[in-house]
Amino acid sequence: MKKIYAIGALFLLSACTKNFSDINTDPNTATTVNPQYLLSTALVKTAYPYQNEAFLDKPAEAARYITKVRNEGDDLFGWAGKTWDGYYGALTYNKTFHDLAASGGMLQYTAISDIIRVFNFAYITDLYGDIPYSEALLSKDSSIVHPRYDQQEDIYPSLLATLTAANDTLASTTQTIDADYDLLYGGVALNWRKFANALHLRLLLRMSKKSATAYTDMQNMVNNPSKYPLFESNSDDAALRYLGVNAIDSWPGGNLNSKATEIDKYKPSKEIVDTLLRLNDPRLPVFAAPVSSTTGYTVDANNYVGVPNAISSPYDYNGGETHISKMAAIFYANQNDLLKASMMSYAEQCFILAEVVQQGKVTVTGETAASLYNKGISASLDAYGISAANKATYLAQASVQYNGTLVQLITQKWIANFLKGPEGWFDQRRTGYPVFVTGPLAAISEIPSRYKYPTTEQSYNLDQYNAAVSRQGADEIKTRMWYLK
Amino acid sequence: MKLKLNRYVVLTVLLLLEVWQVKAHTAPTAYNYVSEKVSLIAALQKMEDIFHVNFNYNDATVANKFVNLEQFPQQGAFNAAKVAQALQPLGLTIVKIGHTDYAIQRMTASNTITITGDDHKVINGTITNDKGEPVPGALITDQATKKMVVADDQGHYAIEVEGATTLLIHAVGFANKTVKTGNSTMLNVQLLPDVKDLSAVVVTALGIRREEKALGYSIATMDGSKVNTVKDVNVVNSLSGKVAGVDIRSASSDPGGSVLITIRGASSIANNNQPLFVVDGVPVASANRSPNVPVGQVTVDYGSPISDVSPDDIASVTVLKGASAAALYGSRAANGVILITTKSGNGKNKKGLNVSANFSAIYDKAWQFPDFQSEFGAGDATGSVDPTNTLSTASWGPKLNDGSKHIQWNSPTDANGNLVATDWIAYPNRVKDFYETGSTYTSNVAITGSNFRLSYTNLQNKGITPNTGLQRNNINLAAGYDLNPKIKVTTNIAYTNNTSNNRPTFNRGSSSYILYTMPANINSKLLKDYWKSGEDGLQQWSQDQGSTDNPYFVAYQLTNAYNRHHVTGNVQLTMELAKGLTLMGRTGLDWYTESDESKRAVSAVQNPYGAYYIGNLFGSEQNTDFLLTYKKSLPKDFAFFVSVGGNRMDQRSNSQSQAASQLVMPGVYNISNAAAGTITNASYKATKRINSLYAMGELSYKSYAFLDLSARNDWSSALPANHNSYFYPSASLSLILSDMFKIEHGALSYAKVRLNWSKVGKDTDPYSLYNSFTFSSPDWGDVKMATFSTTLKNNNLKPEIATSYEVGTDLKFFNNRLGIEATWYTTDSRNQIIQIPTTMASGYSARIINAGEIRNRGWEVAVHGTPISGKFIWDIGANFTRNRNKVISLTNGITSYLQGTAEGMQYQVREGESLGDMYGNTWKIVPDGPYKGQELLDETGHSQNATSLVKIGNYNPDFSLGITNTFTYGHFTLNTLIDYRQGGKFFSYMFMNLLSDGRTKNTLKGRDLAHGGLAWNDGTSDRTDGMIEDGYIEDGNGGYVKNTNITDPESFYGDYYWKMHSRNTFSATYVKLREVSLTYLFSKEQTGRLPISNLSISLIARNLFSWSAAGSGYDPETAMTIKSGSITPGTASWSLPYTRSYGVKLGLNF
Repeated sequence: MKKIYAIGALFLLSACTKNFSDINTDPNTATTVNPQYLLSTALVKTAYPYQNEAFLDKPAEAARYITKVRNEGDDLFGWAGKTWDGYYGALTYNKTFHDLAASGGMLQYTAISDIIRVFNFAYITDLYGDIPYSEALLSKDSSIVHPRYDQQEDIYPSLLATLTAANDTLASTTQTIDADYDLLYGGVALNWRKFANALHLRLLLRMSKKSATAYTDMQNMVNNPSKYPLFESNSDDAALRYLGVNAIDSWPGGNLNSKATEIDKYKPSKEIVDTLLRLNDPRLPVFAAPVSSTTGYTVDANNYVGVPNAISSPYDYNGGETHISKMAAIFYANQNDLLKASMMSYAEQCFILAEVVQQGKVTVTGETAASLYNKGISASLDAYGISAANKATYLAQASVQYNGTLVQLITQKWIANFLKGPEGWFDQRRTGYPVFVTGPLAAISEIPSRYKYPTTEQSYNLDQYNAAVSRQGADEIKTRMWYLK
Repeated sequence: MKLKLNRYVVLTVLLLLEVWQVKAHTAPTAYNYVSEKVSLIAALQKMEDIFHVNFNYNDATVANKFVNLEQFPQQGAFNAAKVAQALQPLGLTIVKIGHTDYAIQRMTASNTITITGDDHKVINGTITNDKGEPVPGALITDQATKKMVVADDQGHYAIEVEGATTLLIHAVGFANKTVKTGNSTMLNVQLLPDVKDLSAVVVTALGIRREEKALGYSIATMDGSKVNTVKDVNVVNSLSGKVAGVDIRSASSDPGGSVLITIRGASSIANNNQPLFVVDGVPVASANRSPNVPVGQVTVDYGSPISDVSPDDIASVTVLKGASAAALYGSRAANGVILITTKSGNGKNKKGLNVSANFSAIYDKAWQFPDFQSEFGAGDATGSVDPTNTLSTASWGPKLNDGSKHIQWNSPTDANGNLVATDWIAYPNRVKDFYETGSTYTSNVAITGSNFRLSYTNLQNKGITPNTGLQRNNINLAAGYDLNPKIKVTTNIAYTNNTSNNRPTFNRGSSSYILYTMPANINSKLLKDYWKSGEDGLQQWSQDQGSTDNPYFVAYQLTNAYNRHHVTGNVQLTMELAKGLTLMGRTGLDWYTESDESKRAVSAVQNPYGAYYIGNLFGSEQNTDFLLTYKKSLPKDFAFFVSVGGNRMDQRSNSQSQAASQLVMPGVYNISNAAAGTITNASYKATKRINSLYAMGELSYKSYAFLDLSARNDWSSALPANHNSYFYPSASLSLILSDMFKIEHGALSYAKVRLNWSKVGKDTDPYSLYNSFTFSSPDWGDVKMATFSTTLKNNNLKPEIATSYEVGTDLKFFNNRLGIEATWYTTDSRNQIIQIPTTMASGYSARIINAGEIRNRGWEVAVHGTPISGKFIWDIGANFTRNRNKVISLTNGITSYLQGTAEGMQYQVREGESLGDMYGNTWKIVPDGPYKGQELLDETGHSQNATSLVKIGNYNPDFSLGITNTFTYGHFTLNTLIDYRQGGKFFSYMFMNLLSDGRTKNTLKGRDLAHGGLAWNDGTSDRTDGMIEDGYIEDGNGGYVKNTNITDPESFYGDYYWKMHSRNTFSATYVKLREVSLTYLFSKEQTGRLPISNLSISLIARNLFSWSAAGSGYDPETAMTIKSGSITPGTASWSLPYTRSYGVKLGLNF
């Protein structure tokens, strides 16, 4: 009896499972999309977090742009493991963008995707040293969930080769880039090539101490401007603007993303303020606000007062809040034309070339180290809306005039890179300039060289993590990565 | 006249039964699988139709009894003797109690003593129950003359007797009692409940009523009154401490908040562990609504749809604990099932209408607060040189109430625009002043007829946070109709409207957060006028202008409303197809729609231009099932039944929401008023279907050995085609040893052992198989951004399988004065569908796989007894729960899994450890030498974190114990419920935060000389607030020396506590006097000529007393983190103060 019913019903029900795949088809989502919808995602997820970190996170303290007067752990260099989920997350979007473009034979997009890929991987290896690279991002394709950490010396050449290939592809392809979705360059392939090549120079300079071919590669590039077009003005900058409408499209210091009290913890560092004061730099009021009270201070009588990093009771410095400069008002805005999510600037490229010319490693037709240095400063002043007259006055000052020293050059580059990516920090750890004070309460007596790996790696990828640490050195912020050794 | 009285009396009896002994009530939908004969009830009903007589009987007395119809008179004059003859084998007899009224009673042993005497006299008395309450309708029979009277509705009787005799007192639901008549003409009799009788029938899976003795697994049943005495807004809270094996935690002290329930421990790593709720056979939405941050910052807890069930409508609650008991409910029953049976009509033979009403009022008072300090005011440091430092939100400022003046939050400005220092005074009641007295008023009216019940409940709740609360209106209809003797239709329909104009909010930005972190120099009463003067509706006035909201502004202008319409209902058809063969068909629907609306007024710190959110949710689940049952008795004392059934479940949900993060016109709450481009849109819908077939059977021998077998196969749409069919069986055995071995020992009345084994399969959420793309909202300008989940889905998933074993025994001693039920169980959950985290460097943060094995093992013991019986009666019940959870394995290469985090505390699942383990920061220790184990500080004398996180504790208790006591004396009944939980830990983020910013009394030490501060110089000035962290520092030569570095309190407390979860973690042991009620039942004399009966009044209280090992101010039970998308027990974040409640309840019948 029971059996008969059961068997009958079984037939009925197994017939009913035929529409199960319809029931379990997700009506909310798409199984595939046009690649440009991921170009926008990859760009936003790359540029905004990069800028966010440059302003609100450790690079700002390491480069002495910012001193936090509360929750000052970053100033004290008690840096714990730092997550890299954001960077690899951007790379995942970018990889999907690449895969969709590749399956449609859209070479213009695969090339752009390659540039974004290099930008992110370079950022990660610059921060940590050895990182998952060749086996990264393959969870879906190859089920690799414990990717090997590649050595930085192997990663760098691969990144450079990718940039060369992307530059070549964009030079040869006639396929058009969707201008609306190319948030960086409005569909102009040439600008992407310029970005690829400028980035190429940045990476070559970073590894120049270790690479025998870095300078010759640079020389080769500057000798062939038509094959390797470079940034020619500020309008070529790789910088994504802010809209200031919603949190996701707004400057991190504005009220859509941060409470004013939170941003009030971020004061300009004494190191940057004092340097700008010393140089009568017209960018100082753009970066910092004057103190609200000039009477009753305890140690610093200036109109602009930066706070030293890693001191005790920093909020009480110089008599407290009213005697300390805040960040300038633009840093509290949701959007300001002077502030973009800067990935790389023309000014930085000028300083890169100025440095290698100054060192006598590269020559640039029609340029000297001094001319490139001046171009770098001018580009930065222009970017911050400094008038021509003030610019001329500034450049004419003895303290600013090119004197042939690396410390002067790097100091100007450092000012130009104010809160732009981690470049100020990276140049300092590479060149030792500017010379920073570590602060009495700092946990280590030097500026950190790297981030510690994410603590989650010890849970999710322990064997590979251990292999990387045994190769590279202890997972500490003082440990030097390959190109710094 | 007499007839009328009898009917009235019997009706009353049944109504009382309805309230007190609902388990005994057998609805028309009962299935009795004992005999192929007709049920006794049917036979009696048939005779009523033929002979126009009335039979009065206790349903329990006649339940489960079957007769051959031909043995009863079918025609001619009614022949009571023939009926008596037919009833005799069943142990029953028939007694004439009126012209055409008869009572069907149990026959009793006549172990009575006859007393001599010649007088003709009238004996008076009152029949009461074990609680001293009158038992109306009791039948008093003179054994000598067989003369019979019925007690009135106050239990009073009067009987004429001739000389020496004995009286037999019989009442439904009570053990028969015989008493000898002495010389006295006054004879009061107290009856004891017939325990065996009452527990005879219980509701089990699929709504099937079974004899409890036949069940091979543990089941807990509570009648409605137990969840109804001290009424709670959410019925789930009423189960707390009352059932062994069930762990209930309120997410907060708000009555409308979420409640977390786990039965026999958490078994699932990734999914929730909430049980399935079934109301009248229909699964209903129970899952707590995920807390949400609609727009801005505050977190809203919307509670749970299960709280739409009104306690007044509940007839009984049955908890099916193990997978075994629940196996027939399929997938979702793996976490246990809570079956709620609602009240229904009086029964077929009871005529007339009854109206009952009750009303209760409960008042909540905020009770437990942290020990706030009121000695020092706002400031970043005691020795600060900055005069404006006293505007800080930290509490390290100058000493209060010493006559000094300081610049502060409400300082006026002088002619130059500078702030003027004002009196520096403490406001110790700044937090308490804010909270109001919460109230919950519940009114219920129910009309009951023979085959229907209509009930209306109104609930009005006001929260302790100003301007919060909820309103609920329930209408409940139960009805039944017999189409013909073989076809019956029943239905239950409930409609609930649950609305709130504003829910209390949690976590950062909430009123509590703001008040708790407010320095002591702020008078919160001044904040009541929260608009800046002259800028009403445009600019708030706050104690921390521009950075922190005014708490009243949060309460009145950042509102979060909802309005939920919830309908549950079912229609059921039962047909007797042939002799012994019945078919049941049923369809049930759970349907709700909810609209949410959140407003953020202009000038809110998080939304300076104001903001607005609207959301709509819809959920429905339809279950259509059939059950075909065949039952037969076999020769040689065997009987069996088999049932086969099928079920189709269709779940649908969809939601839409829109949030405007900036408004154009202040105060206009409409999405069209959003600033251009600031609208976030979201919509989602999902469907799922599960088809199921099941079969079950019972083979019994001589009514003392029962073997149950069941099997179920599910086909789920959410699983891949190759794995979407899964089968799971169960087997159980019940042996009534006392009957088997004919134990008739004086002490042991009843002994049963039960054994069972079962499996339950479990599927997953819809759309878990393939990754796909969505577009993020809001757009980037006019550019779309495609996005996708970084969890890699898996199209090769298998169902999860939980296997459980259970062994138990039920024992009753001393004629049921003492009962013990004990159960040991173990459940292994394998093949769990979890998101195993992977390094993001692999491209995905997690992948969904089948992995893991979790074991829960434990003991449940329930004891109930009556230590004192007589005029004063004391009943005690206790239930003990002990569950041990163990993670047996995860998966290859993964030995630890991060389940979630709350305030930096990590909930890691590690092989060999337990679910609920919390890992956090602790301090470094000296590794060797004479100071080994002491704290190791850094070179400047500061605490340092140990290199890796350590296990701080587990939030689950070692065991829990619930004790109920009932004392009855005369008209008074006192009920108490004590809830005791031993062990477990909780981490208090609140404690840590308050301490690190100097807000509580335990931060006073060291602030000045009077508080033990050391004199020191900080490099620029002499101070008296020096402190030294206790520990050792490296001496540079491989040794260690005691730290002597002096630091100030701000850095001492910040350093010492803020860095360490371990220093802010406490024992979660507590004892609570959770419920107390004192009831007075009025007698007929007292109510006089009023047209009411059963008037009772109760004084009720909740949380009258509470002791926690952690100390006052922090309630371990509501130690939760309520944040968007999750409620995490074990970590206390910003929440509401714990409350104490008092109230009154009034009940009556018309």
